[in-house]
Amino acid sequence: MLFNSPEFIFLFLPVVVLLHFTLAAWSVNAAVVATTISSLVFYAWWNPPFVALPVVSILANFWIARRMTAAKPDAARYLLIAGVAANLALLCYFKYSNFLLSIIDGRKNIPPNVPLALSFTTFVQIAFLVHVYKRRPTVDFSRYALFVAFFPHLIAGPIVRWNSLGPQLADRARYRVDWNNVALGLTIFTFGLAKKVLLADSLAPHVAPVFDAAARGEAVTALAAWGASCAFIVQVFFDFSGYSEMAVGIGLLFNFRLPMNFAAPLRAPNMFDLWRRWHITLSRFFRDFVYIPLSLRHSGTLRHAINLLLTMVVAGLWHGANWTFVIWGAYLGVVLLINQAWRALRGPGRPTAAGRFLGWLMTFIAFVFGGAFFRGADIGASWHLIKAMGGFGGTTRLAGSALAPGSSDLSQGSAGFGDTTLLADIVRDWDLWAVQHGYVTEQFLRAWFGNTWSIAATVSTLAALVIVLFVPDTMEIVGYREGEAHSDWRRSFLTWRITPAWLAAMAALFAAAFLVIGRVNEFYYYQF
Amino acid sequence: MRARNYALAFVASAAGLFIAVVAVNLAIDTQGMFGTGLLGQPLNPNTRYQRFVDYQSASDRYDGLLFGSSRALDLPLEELQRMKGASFANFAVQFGLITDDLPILEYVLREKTTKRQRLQAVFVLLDVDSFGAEPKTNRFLQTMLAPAVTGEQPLRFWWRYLTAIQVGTWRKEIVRAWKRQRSEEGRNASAAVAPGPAAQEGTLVAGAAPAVVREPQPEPWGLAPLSQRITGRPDYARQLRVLRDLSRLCQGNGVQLFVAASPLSNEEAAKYNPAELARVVDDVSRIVPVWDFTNSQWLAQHPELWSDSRHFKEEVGRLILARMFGDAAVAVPADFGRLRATASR
Repeated sequence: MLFNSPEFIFLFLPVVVLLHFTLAAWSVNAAVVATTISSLVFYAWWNPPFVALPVVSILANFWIARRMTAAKPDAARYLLIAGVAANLALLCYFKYSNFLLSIIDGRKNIPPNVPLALSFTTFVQIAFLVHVYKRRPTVDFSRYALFVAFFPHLIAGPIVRWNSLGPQLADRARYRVDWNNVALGLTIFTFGLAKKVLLADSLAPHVAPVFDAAARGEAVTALAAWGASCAFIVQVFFDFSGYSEMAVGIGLLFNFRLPMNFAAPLRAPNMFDLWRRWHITLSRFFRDFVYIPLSLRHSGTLRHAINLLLTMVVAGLWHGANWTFVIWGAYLGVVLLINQAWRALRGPGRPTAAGRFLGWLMTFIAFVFGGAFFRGADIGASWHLIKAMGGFGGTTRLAGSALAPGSSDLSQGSAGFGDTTLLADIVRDWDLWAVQHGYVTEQFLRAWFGNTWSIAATVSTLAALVIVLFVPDTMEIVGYREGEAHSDWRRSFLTWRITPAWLAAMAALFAAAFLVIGRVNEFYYYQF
Repeated sequence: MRARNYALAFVASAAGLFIAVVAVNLAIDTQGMFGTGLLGQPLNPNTRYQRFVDYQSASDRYDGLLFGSSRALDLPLEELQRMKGASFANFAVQFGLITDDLPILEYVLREKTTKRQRLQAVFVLLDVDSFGAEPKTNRFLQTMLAPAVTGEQPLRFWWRYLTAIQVGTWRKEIVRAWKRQRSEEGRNASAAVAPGPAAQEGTLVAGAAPAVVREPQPEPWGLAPLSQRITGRPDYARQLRVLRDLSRLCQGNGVQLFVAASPLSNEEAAKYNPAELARVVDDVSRIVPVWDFTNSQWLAQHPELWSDSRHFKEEVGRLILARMFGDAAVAVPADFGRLRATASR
């Protein structure tokens, strides 16, 4: 069940929230247990037998944590190592075994069937074990189970820490409805939903044809390669930040404050800043549990560079079991090192406006370039796209009267047999319309866009980019700062308040998003 | 504004929107699932589901199954029942492919086994032109199979029909109902004026003739042109395997299987490479004996036997059955239909 599905929004969520507060009025423990069970039901909706995995994992980690709190320091240390190793082994088994085997025996890397949420719950529990080892807190099992399984963050984060969510779960005052938080939560949820379904999902069909063509080794123009990579980065931002915001919004409905995960990262003026603002909770995890431990053991400029590179490679690998992610991580590590070298060269002091703009431009281009590895099906596909970015993506064949209505590949839509989506229609219509009205020639379109990119794709990507760069992000609008990376990212206009105007605006935004999520692929076949 | 009011008003508006969608789906009943149909018979019924419901309502009565696309609707079912001495449940559905048939057959065989009943015969009318095309089954609201057949949770199945936003279809249904109402009002008004015989005839023509109250023309179905489809056949290998499974299932359960390749009109056949059509029949005949009606000179000379370019008339259906089952009362042209059975089966 996804946050953006009608059954979640109109069935699961209302029932679970009502159940939580109804039971909480009677017994807080009952509410904790009920919401934990609801969270496991949410998980099981995807694949019921797999629910055993988080259940066993929660039990095992809690047992280790309990033993640690009672153990002497040396024994606790061994327990911590064993716990972390067991968590990582589980993650490796499900996520990386195929990849590792492919390295050993040289066979094709088959994408693994990773149990839902495994990457996130593993990190949540590793962070918890480290916290218990250092602080030795008293932990109640029911609250620990809810801490790990709490469905808003279960599937795609944000990665929560016990020192942030644990005290909230223990606070009895939080088990009463807070209408301010409900209003805020509904607003953040709606923004997140709109980001996901209105923005991210509308970019996805423009991205896929270019990356798919690159994977097949077909011709891709430079504009298409850069455009698709840019559209992909913006799509991922809207998709993931939207989903994270929905999680934060749902958390607020329960009166719990989850950490924010994105802070307008695509406006960052340098790569370090970008990583402080992109998937914040994951960046912090790698900083706290990989980079800092490595730096404590080995210091010095060279070691620092190696540690940073290593951290980024591990972070890349966390995103997926494929060499493309390893290269992506390593590439961004190198960019970070270049960034650091430049900072050392330039010295302290605030850069000028021109310098900040240049910094943003270079950071953005570098990040977009990395998208070729992140989204590429394999190294060959990524390399083909990178060559295309340099203008070496092959020659696009000019298809005679390809844009003549009724006879072209475009006129059939890009979605394939019986699957002409609204978007495919728009893509077709815009290009056809522009050619038929003489605004562009077919030769021009083919030369610049090839067979994979389009006017609609260009306009959509530019529009999305304008929103990313100039419209305040959700958390800026609502002023939510939980787990904020730093404070230098806010736009001051468009501030949300509890007013009828904002209510109307949010209801309209929700309606627009709902019309998209509930829309089905309509197919007409009238009886003869 | 108080936070409580803000939150409750927001929830109320979202709930209102949701209820409105459910209400519209229930009222218009675009796929004919709820039996409400306030705007009359739907344009896009889920015939797969309806056929299944029809079967279930009297499953004990049936000991035969008819599978096929909308072309099979023109096979006279009573004739088939008379000739084979079995009662056939009609599972001919729009854009039906062999992939629609196997799950139904599996379900029916399971059910018959449980009830200690026997399925006697299965008749499959294959469309050689669309064999191997990507199935539409379970991809659209009007092509979903019943949960009892697919094993899907009924809640999910019905939830989908209740919450689907299908603006285009709703609009078409409403426009159609509105036009129908207007034409009826027009007729009533004409009757009230009571003009002379000549004028009355003219009014009747204008008011009720198809030229004015036209049934909606078939929409483009989103299919690629047939000439492209024939070279594509993206699901061809799998559908051959499904046919093999279906054949083995019939054999294993002592069910007689009759397979016919449906005739093609001149207009339709011209869109295909004849060699490829023949290859499809060949491949099918390697799996199961097939009566091939795709290539008849006699039928080619009788365009009046076609309702449209895709669908033959019932007379042709009667001839198909007569050829296959040897009805002496019907004179079947010599070149119409031949049994193809390749030894490598």
